[in-house]
Amino acid sequence: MPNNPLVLAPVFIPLLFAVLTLGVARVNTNNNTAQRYVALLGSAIGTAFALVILGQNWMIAQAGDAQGAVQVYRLGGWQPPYGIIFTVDLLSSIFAAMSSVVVTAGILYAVRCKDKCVTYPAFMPLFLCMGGSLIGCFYTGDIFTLFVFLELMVLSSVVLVAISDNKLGLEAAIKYLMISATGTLFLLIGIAALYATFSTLNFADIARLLQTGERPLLAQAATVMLGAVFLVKSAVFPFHFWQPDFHTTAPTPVHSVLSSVVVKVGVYGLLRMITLLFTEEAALINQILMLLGIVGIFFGSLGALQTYDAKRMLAYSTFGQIGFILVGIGWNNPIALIGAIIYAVNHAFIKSAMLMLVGVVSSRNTMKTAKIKHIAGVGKPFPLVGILYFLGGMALAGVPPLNGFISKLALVRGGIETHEWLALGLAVAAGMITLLYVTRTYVLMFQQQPNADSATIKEKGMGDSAFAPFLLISLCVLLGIFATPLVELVTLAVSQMSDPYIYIRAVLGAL
Amino acid sequence: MNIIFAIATGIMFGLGVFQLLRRDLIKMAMGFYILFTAINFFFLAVGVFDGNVPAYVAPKDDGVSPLYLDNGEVVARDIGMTDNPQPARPSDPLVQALLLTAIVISFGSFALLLGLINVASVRFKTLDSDQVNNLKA
Repeated sequence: MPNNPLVLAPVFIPLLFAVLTLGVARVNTNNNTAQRYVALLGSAIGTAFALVILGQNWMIAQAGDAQGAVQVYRLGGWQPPYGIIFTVDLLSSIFAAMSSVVVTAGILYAVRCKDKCVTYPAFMPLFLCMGGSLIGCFYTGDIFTLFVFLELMVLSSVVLVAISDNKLGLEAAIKYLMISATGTLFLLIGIAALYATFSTLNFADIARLLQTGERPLLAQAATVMLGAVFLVKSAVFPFHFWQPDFHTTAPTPVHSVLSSVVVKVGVYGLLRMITLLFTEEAALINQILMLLGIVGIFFGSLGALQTYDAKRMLAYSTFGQIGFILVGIGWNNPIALIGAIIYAVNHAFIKSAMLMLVGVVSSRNTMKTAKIKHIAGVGKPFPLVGILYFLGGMALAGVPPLNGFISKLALVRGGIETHEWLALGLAVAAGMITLLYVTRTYVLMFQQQPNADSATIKEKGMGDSAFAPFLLISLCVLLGIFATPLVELVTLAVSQMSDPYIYIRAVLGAL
Repeated sequence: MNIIFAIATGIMFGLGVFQLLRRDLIKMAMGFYILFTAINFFFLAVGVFDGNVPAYVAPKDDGVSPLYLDNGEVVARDIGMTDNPQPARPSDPLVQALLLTAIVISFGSFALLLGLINVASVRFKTLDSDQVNNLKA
């Protein structure tokens, strides 16, 4: 059981730089360029470490040592199950690498972003806090630390939305804080129930005790509580009502992180619940997830179709795409699970890139909004942005050779494998709606003549704000053409998740 | 003790949920805090009353902890149980550590919520959540 201190870096380097950026911030000026570059540096270093850890895990797993590919760091040096522990298996490292790449791209976008809120001295520290705590959620191996990181993430994202340029941000922030903080309260009840039953907080130790088959009443209550929390966090059907408002009113760089990776925390939690903790209840949970996923796909896609704002459309679209992921998890089959994880990774890159492109276009009109009536034709002078948006939209709809096609293909293969024909048909049919709303906004923004009376277009250069979405879209194209490494990596991760005892032994040693 | 705690937690939970659903934003924030305190009560009840001696007592000047006999056996003495020494079960310190963290977090969230409500009351000139409804397009 080697102790790898490297796994602290992706979590604590962004948090350290959050403090540093507060130090370089200059109050009462609108020129905080130095602060933004320091933030970008911090996030890039964190991303590099996250990628290194992913690479290490991948190489160990490829050598056939599934148990060695779970890296641990025991903070304070206590032997598990005592003390706080960071546990990084392949699933954690995939999700953490994905989110740190997206967060870095968000900061890169924010460096050149024209929004007023980006110039506030508190913006970058909060953004880094959100990024660091996000990765903390994925890396932690102990359920109370998960609660702490979730709260940190909620609080920093609430403030980021409350200071948004959009006047409605404040209202949405209050709404989200109430819902999300109450949601994490239920996580606390779940933790207390688990602690009352098993007297431990370590994921591996809880899993070991649950594997013995004992199910006191409090542990069953904890299952429900944890499930509800993760469903709230990823805005799944009955708990989705806060998501479009909160995400639409967020500043564009924050929106591109919230809508793509922050909602994946819930997905990650559900995956952990099903594959590690509550493996015996997994069949029932999977049934519920599949049902909620199908409803979410339809609700989200139809909502995206008839909304009045391009950013809101993409927020609804996230709601639908999370539905696809949940259906993949709910099929309860290794191949479908591979599909679901690939879908989660690809969707993060596509969605954040598309949101940044909408932000680029909407900052060109004088109203600074993405409302359909103000945004029509605004992107017409910028064909390069149009091409990027088109590529992103096609990837979202799942057109080959882009990465969205790979994820849809993997998911459909899982569906065929499980013979869930009804759910498969519904999911594929609803996926077609994606093509409809993406094409419609593309034509609206980049092909129509500008709407003369409502908005005038500022004739300025595009700046570098299209650089971050360009990087993400090229990543999407690359992951579409060279899909094999990602598929192999996720296959290794799923084979590691298939046996909870790999995780348990890696943390607790030989049983 | 458990019965009292169960009743208290239940009452506070109900009170918190009721207040959380009020129209007034300040009452809603209070409900959030009451709910958090109810859960802290639940947390407290999980492990704090299991033992009959404190989790840690500083050694006396002669280096002997009052919880231990000279032969190393753990016994509750010098804490009002000297008449009837019995094997000591130290209470769980982890629950108290978790509780402190939870209290700090709840305090932070509550302060942030009140700050946001303050700004909202200036902007909307009301605390009635039915009239803070600009999001309804």
